[in-house]
Formats: sequence, C-alpha cells, structure tokens
Amino acid sequence: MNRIMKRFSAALCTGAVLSSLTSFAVRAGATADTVLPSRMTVAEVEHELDFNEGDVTNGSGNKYGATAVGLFRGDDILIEGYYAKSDIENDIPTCKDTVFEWGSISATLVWVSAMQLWEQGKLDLDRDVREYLPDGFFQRLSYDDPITMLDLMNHQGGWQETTRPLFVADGEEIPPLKAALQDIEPEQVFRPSTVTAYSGYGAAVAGYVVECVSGTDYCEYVHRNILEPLGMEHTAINADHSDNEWVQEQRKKEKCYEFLAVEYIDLGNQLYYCPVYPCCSAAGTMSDLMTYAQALADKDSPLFGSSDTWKEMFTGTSFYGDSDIPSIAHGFLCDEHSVRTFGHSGDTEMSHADMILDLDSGTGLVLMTNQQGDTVNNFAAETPELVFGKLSPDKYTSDTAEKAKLSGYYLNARGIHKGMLKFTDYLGAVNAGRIGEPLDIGNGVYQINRKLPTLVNTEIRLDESSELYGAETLSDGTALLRRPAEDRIQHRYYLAELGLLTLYFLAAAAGAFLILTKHRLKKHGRLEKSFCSSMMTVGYAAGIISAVTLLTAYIIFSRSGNVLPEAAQLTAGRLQLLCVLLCAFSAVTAVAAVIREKKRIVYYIANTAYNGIVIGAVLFFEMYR
Amino acid sequence: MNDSKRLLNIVRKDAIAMTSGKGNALIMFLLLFFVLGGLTLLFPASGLVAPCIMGAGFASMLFQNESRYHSERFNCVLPISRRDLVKSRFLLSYVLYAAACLPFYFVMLASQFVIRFLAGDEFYSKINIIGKLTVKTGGALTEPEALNLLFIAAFAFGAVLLSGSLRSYFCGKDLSSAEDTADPIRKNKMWLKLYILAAAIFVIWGLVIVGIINLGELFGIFTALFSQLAAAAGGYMLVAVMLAVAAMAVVYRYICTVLEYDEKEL
Repeated sequence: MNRIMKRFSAALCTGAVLSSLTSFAVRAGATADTVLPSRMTVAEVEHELDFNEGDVTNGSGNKYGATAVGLFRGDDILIEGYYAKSDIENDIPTCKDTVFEWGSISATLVWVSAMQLWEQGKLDLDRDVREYLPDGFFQRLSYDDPITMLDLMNHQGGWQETTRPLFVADGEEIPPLKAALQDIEPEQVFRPSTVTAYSGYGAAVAGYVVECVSGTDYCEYVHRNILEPLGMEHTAINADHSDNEWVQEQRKKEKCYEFLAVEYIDLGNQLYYCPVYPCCSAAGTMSDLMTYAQALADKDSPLFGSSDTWKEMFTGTSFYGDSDIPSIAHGFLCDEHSVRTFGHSGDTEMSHADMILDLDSGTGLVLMTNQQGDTVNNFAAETPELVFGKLSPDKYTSDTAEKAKLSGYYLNARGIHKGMLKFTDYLGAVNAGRIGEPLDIGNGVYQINRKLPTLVNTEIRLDESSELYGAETLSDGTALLRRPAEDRIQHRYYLAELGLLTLYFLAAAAGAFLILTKHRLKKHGRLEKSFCSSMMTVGYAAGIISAVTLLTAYIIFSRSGNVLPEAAQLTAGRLQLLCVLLCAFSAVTAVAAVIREKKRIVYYIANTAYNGIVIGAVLFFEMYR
Repeated sequence: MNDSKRLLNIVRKDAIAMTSGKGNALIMFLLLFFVLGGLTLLFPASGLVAPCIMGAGFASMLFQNESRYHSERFNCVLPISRRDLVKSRFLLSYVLYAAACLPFYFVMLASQFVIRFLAGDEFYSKINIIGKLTVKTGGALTEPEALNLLFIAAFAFGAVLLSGSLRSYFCGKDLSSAEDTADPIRKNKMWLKLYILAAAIFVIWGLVIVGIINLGELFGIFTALFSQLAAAAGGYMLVAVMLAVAAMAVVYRYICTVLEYDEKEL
C-alpha cells in the first residue's frame, strides 16, 4: 500500500512537472535573451542548470539531490526549475510540491516584522531590547551595555555559539519560545555593537521582541502580516510546522541526502524541531519563497505601508571600515557580486537555501536543495555567480590603489570562545598574510584579490576572485576584519596558544610512551620502586585521561549536532579537575624529589614540565568548565 | 677511555666492517641511492618514498657483513658494554640515514626546475602531485611548504621504521620471552593478556560498528589540528610535532633494544 501511495505521488509530481512545462522555460514578459547582472542571458543560465542536472560524471546517475531554482525580474518569472529527484529510491522527481526548509532565511521574517513595527512606531530600533522583554530575561550577560534591535540585526549582540540543544527530535518536547530562549542562552563574549558574529539565538530573541511588542504570538504575527498578504499558502513558520498542515505532512515525506564517494546516502527526513523557531524553522515550497523574495525586491512592497520603509530596510546598518559599503542592512546580508546584492542563506540538517536580490534591476534568485551546505551541490555552488557575476578586481580599485599588507592570525568571531570547547576556536584560524593580495581602497576597506589554485580535471588552474574586508580596531586595540555575518578577530598570541594546545596533545602521547617504557623497565627488573616513581606514573596517566576526556567531549558534541549534554559537560569538567589535581600532586612530588635526592634532576624537571603543560592547557582552554 | 671516544671507536669498527667484503653495503647503498635519486629527478614525489625505503632496509644493509659472517659474537670479547654497542649503532644508523635522506630533498627541489626545463609547464602541472595537494589546503600552504612538510613526514616515518629494524636486528627472536613461554604460569599469563587484548579490540570494533565511537570525528579533530599546525608559522609547528612524535618512538625503541639486547644470549 505504501509503495502504491509513493508511486501515485510520484506520478502526481511528474504530471505536475509535465503539465506546467514552464519548469525549464522562460515565462511570458521576459525573453530568453534577457541579460542578467552577470552579463549572461537567461537562456545561458538555464543551459548551465540543465547541464548540472545531466552531469553524471561521477557515475551515480543522480549527482545532486532535489534542487529547485527560481529566478525573477520584477513580476516576471525568468526561470522556475525543479531538478533531480526528491526521493531517489522511489524515483520521485522534484516538483512544485516539494517542501524544503528555509534555514536561517527564516530570520528575514523577523527583520521584516521588526521593520513593520518600526513603521508603525511601535518599535525603536535603537532602544535596549530589555525594555521590551520581560524583566530578568537574560541571565548570562557579561556587559551592561544596551543591546538594541539594530545590534540583533547586525549580529552584534556579543553572544557566542550556544552549546545547548538548538533542535529537539521529539515534536512533543517543544517548550514555549521564551522558555526555549532562556534554556539555550549562550555566554556573551563580546561587548554589544562591536563584533559581528552571526547569532541564531540573537535572531530568535528579536522574534520574541516582535512577539512582546505586537502582543501577538510571533507565528501568528508572521502569518497575519507577511504570509497571508502575499498569498503564501505553502509555508509554515512554527517549530513543528503545525501552523500549516499541508506543509507539515509534506515535510514528513521529504528526504535528505549526503553524497559519499560514489553513491547517495539516504539520511531520511532529518526532521528536527527548533524550539527557538524564529531563527530557522520556516519550511515551504520554492514558489512560495520566490513570492516572498519578489515582495522584498519590490520597492512598492505590499509588506510595508510606505516605500520609505522598504528603502530604510535596505539601507546599510553595518559597514566595511569607515566606508559607505554596507555589510549588513537591517538583518539582510550584503554581498558584492558584479552588482551589490542583499539576501540571506540558510542551512539545516536537511537542506540548504539561498535568497539573493539585486534591488537595482529587481532581479532575484531563490535556490533550495535537500542537501546540507552550499558546496556539495553544484546548483548551490555555481548558480549565484551565474546570475549575479562576481566582484571584479577593478570595481573598487584604481591604478592608484595602494598595496596593503595584512598580517597576524585571525579567529572567526562566530564560534565557542568560552568553556571546555574553547579549543575548537583555534582549529579555524586564518593567517591574514595568506588571504590574498590586499589593496587598500580607502576608508579602512581592503579589496582582497585571490588567485586560488583549483583542480580542473588533472591540471592546476588559478581561479581569480575578489572579496572585501573592512579593517577596524576595537577599544582594547584588537584588530578585526569585517565581513558580512562574521568578523575575524586578530589573536596576538595565537601561535603561543596553539603551541600550548599542541604540547598538551604531545604530552599525552609522551605520557603513553613513558608508561610503556616504565612497563618495559619493570618487566626487565630495572625499575626502582618508589613513591616518587609511582606519582610520576599517576601524572602521566592523568595527562592521557585529560586528553581522552577532551576528545570524547568533542566527539559527543559533534555527534549530537554541536550540542554538549549537561551530564557530559559535568562529567568531563570534573574529570579534568581531577586530572589537574593529580598532575599538581605529581609535579609537587617531582620538585620535592629534586630537593631531596639531588640526582636524576633532568628527569624530575621534565616531569614537572609535563604536568605544568597539562595543568596550563586545562586551565587556559577552560576544559574544566 | 671516555664514553664518547669509546662510542667513536665502535662506530669506526662498524664502518670498517661495513665497507669490507664482497658485495659490501656501500655498493648496495650507492646503487639504491642513485636509482631512487634518478626516479626523484623525473617524478619529484618519488623522493618521499626514499626515506621510508631506507628506514625499513637500512639496518640490515649496514650490518649485513656481521650477519653474513656471524661475527656478532666477537663483540662479546671486546671491552665494551652491550649498551654501548646499541648506542653507537643507533647513532651511526641515524647519522647515515639523515645524510642519505638530505640529498633527496635537494633532488626534489631541483627536479621541479629540471622537469619544467625539459618537458614544459603543462607536463609539470599534470604530474605535480604536491601542487595538487596544496590545492586541497585552499591556499593555506604554499608548494615549497607542502614539500617541506611531506618530506619531514616521510623522514620521521622512516626514522621510526629504522628504529624498528634496528631493534629487530639486535634482538631478533626474543629469547627471554621464549623462555617465558616454557613456564606454564607465564604462558597462561601471556595467553590471558592476548585474550584481554583481543577482547578490547573486539569491543572497540563493536563500538565503532554501532557508531558509539566515530572514527571520522576523531580523525576530523586531528585533521583540523594538523591543518592548523601546517598553516601556522609556515608549517614549522607541524614539522616540530612530527619530529617530536618520531623521537618519542625512537627513544622508546632504543630503551627496549638496550633492555632486550642486554638479556639476549649470544
């Protein structure tokens, strides 16, 4: 019966695709010769999309998962394409009814809602959001500085990534928005209004602010003020999609795929629920997202009472250096292609989605796939550049632009900066001297031109690209490089700190070798038994246990979707503290032995250094927290 | 006679033994050296194999005359301790190993120019495996840095292999453990250890299969750490780490060799 139903729905989808015949065709009002910002014509882009679908070079026959692409200019739909299979096993093609998740594009609904309330004079974007929220809403703030709605829009609330569960597997366990936000409140690691670090938590807080200001449940507010006026009947907002039964049912049928080596791995429907739903829970059809994108790209948008609000919404709120080149405009991320675009992308366990708008020409692109990440799927990786082109090296630079020099190591602002997983921060550092060739284009903006070696078939070719960075200095003298969504912060002592982390792991390896050596000596009767020697061994063992504990915590964190359960945190923290105590005791014994015995001094000093490294690393990297 | 002089004398004695006799080690070594060198000149990546091959076969090649003529027992009548003998041979082997590996590094560097000169850039781009590897690092490593790192990795790996072959050369069949197995209690203990080891491997394998232990994530964290070390300070941090780990393994095997050779009946 199940199989019959699947075949029936497959036939329905095929019918829908065939009947519309518009799937791969240009709609009325625009021609295939319409030139896009990239200077390619619509027909050329369509040809590339078709090529991607037919590209079977890896031998699987279905290289990409379900992908839906929508391209429009004003009211004209230029391309509405549905590619590959949404269910490979049951041969169900991607169609108009395929439901995808929006991921972080959901946050744009919050920003639009906030602008609507601002237009009505109910919300002041420059006021501390704590004035709108219930008393004592935030429990873990480190700074007294106000956090405004603009800070939330610019992702400058100062929060690090949460290590608490952002998603739950059981739809029955979804708490109310306020409780969910308080459950996952991350540490505030930066002073508000200073560092941009994309924060889903911050976007969800903004959603709750909308709820508090409007006096209406956020989901209901969005339905009443955005979805219904636009006629978006196939989009759900709530954590469990219960606000739209059709979407809820359809979403349960969708699958997600991961491509490994030569075949697709069916990951099932990857249905998880995000209790802090304003930041990432929307799901719906591609055509609905395109309707929303068209409304956003329209200066007489039906979403606002006045076009001034639309204009204000797409006015920059965060800029590269001291220039007027925006990096964020009221929550919308600005990208420099051959034209300036505004938009957002989003990822969930199930999908990747992009919404990119060129407001000058009214051109917009929406793209949704059932594969996570923007690099695994060629549609997602290539289409934005096909439509909007890429930043030309000479767009902002002139012959007089001075060559600049960036140096030092920079860490991503979006990450975990406090707590036992602080060390993960150090695994994503960037050497500024290697980013590319920076040109100072004035006002603290660098255009970085890169020639990245890429493999084309078996040959190495240089792929040229350009990117903007804004250079700023924080009040404490720390340099940062501004990018949309995520700054990079200079870390002056990065090499020393990475060295400590490396020594810590090396110490664990050395500990293992030393214990093995002692075992050998004992076996051959060459080991003098003494309390001091035993304590040395305890120190080595503590170093090994500490490293294994850290690795185990990291593996649990990765396996649980970047969440470290409280029990694991407590156990790991206590074990690390125990290891520190044992190492300290071992070190003290070694020092006492040096004073008492006055022989084998090198051995005891080495032991003290070993224990010092373990203790230093555990304390510095906060592995006990 | 002081320690260093005694060690030097043993090294001198070994060097004489090495270069004498028919089909001596020097000829074999030079043959291997030039074959591998020529191959490296044509395909730079072959230079990475050289340290590994040398590490694996160096000990038996250096001391083949001693094995051939069973002259090992002569060492017993010399006024030297077994520990000194082990120490001097480890020293000699590693000095020769380093001296033999170094030219390959320079040949690898030179081959880039030679191939470009003889066959052109396009051909070089096709066979340039190290360059293709740097592409995977997303520009974090330059080609010379990648070459340095890979060579040091091969060198460190070869050094560990060399310590293993030296240990097996000195100790061969472990006589003391052979005696152990004759003792029924010790024999049972040995079996018990083997059972525990097998059970541990079985349990770990089971945990990997059911996904409780995820090797991908474990490797992921080390891959990320190695990538950062490779990208930091021109790759010298990773070089230091690789050499340190190799040194730990070599020192451990040296200690084991001293202990086991001391108890070996010649």
